[in-house]
Amino acid sequence: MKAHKATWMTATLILSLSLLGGCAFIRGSMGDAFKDEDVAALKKGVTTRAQVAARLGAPERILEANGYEIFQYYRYDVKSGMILFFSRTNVMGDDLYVMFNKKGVVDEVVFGKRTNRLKFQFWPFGD
Amino acid sequence: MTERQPARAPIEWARRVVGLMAVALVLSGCPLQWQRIAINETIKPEDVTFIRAGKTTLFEVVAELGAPDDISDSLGGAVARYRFRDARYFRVNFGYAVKLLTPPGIPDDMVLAGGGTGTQEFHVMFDANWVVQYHAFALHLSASHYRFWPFDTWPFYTYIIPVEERRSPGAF
Repeated sequence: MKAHKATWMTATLILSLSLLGGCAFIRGSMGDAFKDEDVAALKKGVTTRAQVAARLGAPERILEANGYEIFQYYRYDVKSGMILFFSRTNVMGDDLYVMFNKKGVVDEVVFGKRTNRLKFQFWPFGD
Repeated sequence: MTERQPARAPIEWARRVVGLMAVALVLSGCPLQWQRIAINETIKPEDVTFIRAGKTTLFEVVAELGAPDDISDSLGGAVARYRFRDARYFRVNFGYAVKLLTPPGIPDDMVLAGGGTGTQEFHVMFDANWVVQYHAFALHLSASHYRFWPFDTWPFYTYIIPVEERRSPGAF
């Protein structure tokens, strides 16, 4: 009986390994993750443009809208899964906008984090 | 008096395991591929019903939908854009069936493949006080599909593989 059990377990193991042969999980990212303390340090009416640049580095983009100068920072995260002949790659980004008033002081901070909802998926159908 | 029969269960299981292994090995170099790439989460019309022109602010929009991918200026005010994309690709290699019979060095691929990328954009225009003036979707979702037949003409009767409205022949 023990011999049968060992055979069965070996066969299951080989089957599992053969299925894993067509399997891949890949992770990539562009840019460093935003630290909560860095975002929290941006104080409206207090923090200056130079202090923002010193803390977060040079922005990826500098925009102008509604009379504001806006620093935009962003990063992207990628999770990709493949099993046999199905594969799915999900990409999401985090964006941080820091809006300055005419004096070059932070007036508003807009931060949105999507990457914490990013999933590994391999099934390419449905939503 | 009952005669003790040899246990057949392990043999049956072994056959099933060997069969499954054979299927797995065939599929691991599979002639079929479905691939999909999704960038950002899809925003649906029902996700933006909370937005009221003249009332909702940028910060309320961000609280619900996250930060936009882009903010730009226009003569009418600032525009926030949320972009999301969905790309699908399908490939089948009919040459796979004769791979073992083809002499080395002779190409044996016979591939039909196709797909599409659907780009969607949701944009919200704000006034000088960051209050919503209007919002709108740019919809191209029907472009995202798997496509079995890469040609423009479709030789099969539509009742075999129906061609949906606004889709290319062989799209599914």
